[in-house]
Amino acid sequence: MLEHVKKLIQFYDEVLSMPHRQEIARELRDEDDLFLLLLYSEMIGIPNPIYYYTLELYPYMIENFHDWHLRMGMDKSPLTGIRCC
Amino acid sequence: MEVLAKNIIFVGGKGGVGKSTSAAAIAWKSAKSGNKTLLVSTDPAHNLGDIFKQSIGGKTTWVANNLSALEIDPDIETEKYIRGVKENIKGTVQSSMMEEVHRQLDTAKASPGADEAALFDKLISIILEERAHFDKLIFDTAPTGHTIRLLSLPELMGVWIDGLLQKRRKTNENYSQLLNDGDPVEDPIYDVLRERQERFSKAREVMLDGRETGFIFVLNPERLPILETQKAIKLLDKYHLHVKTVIVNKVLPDDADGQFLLQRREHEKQYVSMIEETFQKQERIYVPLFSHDVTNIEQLADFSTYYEKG
Repeated sequence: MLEHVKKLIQFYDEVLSMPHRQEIARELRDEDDLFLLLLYSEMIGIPNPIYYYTLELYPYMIENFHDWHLRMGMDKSPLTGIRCC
Repeated sequence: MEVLAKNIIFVGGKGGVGKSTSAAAIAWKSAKSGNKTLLVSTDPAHNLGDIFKQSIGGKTTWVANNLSALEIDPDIETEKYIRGVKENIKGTVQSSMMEEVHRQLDTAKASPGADEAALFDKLISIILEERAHFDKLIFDTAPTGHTIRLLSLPELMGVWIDGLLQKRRKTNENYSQLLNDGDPVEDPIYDVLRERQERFSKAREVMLDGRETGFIFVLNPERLPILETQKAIKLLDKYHLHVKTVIVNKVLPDDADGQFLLQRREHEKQYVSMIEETFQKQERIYVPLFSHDVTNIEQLADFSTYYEKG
């Protein structure tokens, strides 16, 4: 019986935290997006003193690049070289 | 000249005042007295090769006993950097995207600021890594504006990267606490940026270390160079880089004869006293105007004897 109650409570807890987890994930993704925007601000014409050094970060962000520029409201990839669309 | 005791010396000044010759003479003198010396030119318009009458270029080249020289070539440096990035990408990007990414990286080579960043990067690696192979590093820098920019870059970039890192750290902490049960998240972007930041701040430490590094400005006894040097010294002070030595080059020698030169020397006197006034805090080294250009080692050696005074 106690086992059952424990399980029930656990289930209840998960149901409650589900939407929160999604919300948190979204918030954090927004923070990530902003970070990428700071890194690649040159693309929208905001000078970035370390633009040259951001090239070495390419390997780590290239996979996520497509989703990012769509979220940033750029329909077409702002990088002429990366034609992901 | 006290500054000659420093391990790293930056020589700056207006175009045409004799920076390269002065830097070469300092390097020559240092090599003569038994120090393994590297003379580095950061000026895109390189002159070192002309002074030593041999091609030097972007690779460390032997010039004389104990003396090597190097003319930083931004093209070579960007090429190297981009090649490194391409190597790193090999494992992480789908092969279908590879070509696009390479194209993107190649266009980045020509982006504004790439040359400057590459030059700066090389400067840092000389200060951090090459220092182990040499007793002394002498930098012959570009005209004043470039030099100030170059010397102030570590601070500027440091602040920028600090900001980025702080932001990134916060996000990573949140990820790990809220979505990852407290396990730290792996973040190569953060690691790479951090490595950069460490290099910048190490280089900055060396440059700001007054026991290690000295700054010299070269000027002529004329109005414009005096004013420009005064401004430059003030500006560098703001970045905590203190110029303690000025070399006053091309001063008319006492035995210059003729009516014309007599008049010229009268004029020059005003400027010399202006220099004495303006640069009270700096050690002042006077080098006379020679009747010929400095184009060989003997003349360079002759030129460098004037550094022994003071």
